[in-house]
Amino acid sequence: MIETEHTLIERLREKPTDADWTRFYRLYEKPILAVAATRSLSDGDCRDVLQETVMKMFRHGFARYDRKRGRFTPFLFGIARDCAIDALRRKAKRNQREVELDSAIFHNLQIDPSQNPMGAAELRGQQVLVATALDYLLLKGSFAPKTVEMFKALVFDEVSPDEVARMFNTSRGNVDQAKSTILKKLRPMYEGLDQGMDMEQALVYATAALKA
Amino acid sequence: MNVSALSDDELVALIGKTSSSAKTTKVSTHDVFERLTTVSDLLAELPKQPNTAALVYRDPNSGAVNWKAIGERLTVGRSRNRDANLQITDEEMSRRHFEIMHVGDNVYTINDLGSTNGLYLNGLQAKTEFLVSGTEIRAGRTDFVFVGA
Repeated sequence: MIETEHTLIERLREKPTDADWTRFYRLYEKPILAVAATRSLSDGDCRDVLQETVMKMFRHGFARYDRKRGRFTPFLFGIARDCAIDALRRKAKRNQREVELDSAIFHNLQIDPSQNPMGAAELRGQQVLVATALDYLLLKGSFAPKTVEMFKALVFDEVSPDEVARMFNTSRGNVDQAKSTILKKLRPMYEGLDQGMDMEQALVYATAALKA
Repeated sequence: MNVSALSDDELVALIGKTSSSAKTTKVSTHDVFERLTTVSDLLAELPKQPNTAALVYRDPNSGAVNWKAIGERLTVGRSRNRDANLQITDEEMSRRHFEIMHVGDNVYTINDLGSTNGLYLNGLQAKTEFLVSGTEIRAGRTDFVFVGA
């Protein structure tokens, strides 16, 4: 494993600068909102979940997170999930209704309630974080423009590989190669985020991991 | 879920399932960012962080930052008033200006106790509201921040 001297999370725990704090907020803002959105909370309630999650991280989270005991993102999304449950409690009390918490959670889920709701909330947060990392990777990953365009057509526009090959006047093998090249770098990049790195560090980490 | 252990197809499926609405959430969060920046600066001035739900405030006279644990109920008012648990030397505050109550399940409410100059939450006047950790409260000339457990 490649070690960095000070990950973003380590810096936030020890002696954070304004830039560290801003990076953390910008990196995790949308994934946290996505966790909140799995509970069908209003825009205002989602904002409250974001605010409470970041407050909890400030007050206890960065100090309590232990890299040896697990990955950072599940730890963060677990806190966001708890804050979303607190928001549901406020919502229930605000509506002056006696709502059993568990039934409220299942009732409010937009996703399949047969899934574990806690896992589902974390999954949504992970999805949005992967998408955020991918956006950054496509922008800064030093890929050939054609590789990026083929990847976008394949993954975002869901065009079949054969059709992408025809559109870009290339072979099917080149299309598969474009997809593989980008995903190969995305995986260690996410691993870096899981270790508490910021986006820039995670990209450097991924580049080094692929060279090793 | 360990993203880095997913196969190419599983990873593509995960990205594809990320709806555009979730990826580009339209919730405006600029005010949250600004508020959290202010609050983090305030908390950084505390010599010791509260380990329970608390009201953090800046003394309008000395400028010092302090906090008071909320417990089940905290009444805040002008100094030299025994009815208030937290007394602030601020002539623009009422004798019993507002109270914060723990109503169970980690949920707190704030109530204006009929103050003369009103109660403001995140810049908006309020009478009774549920509190969210990081909410800025203004009463008289004094700024407070609610910090959850």
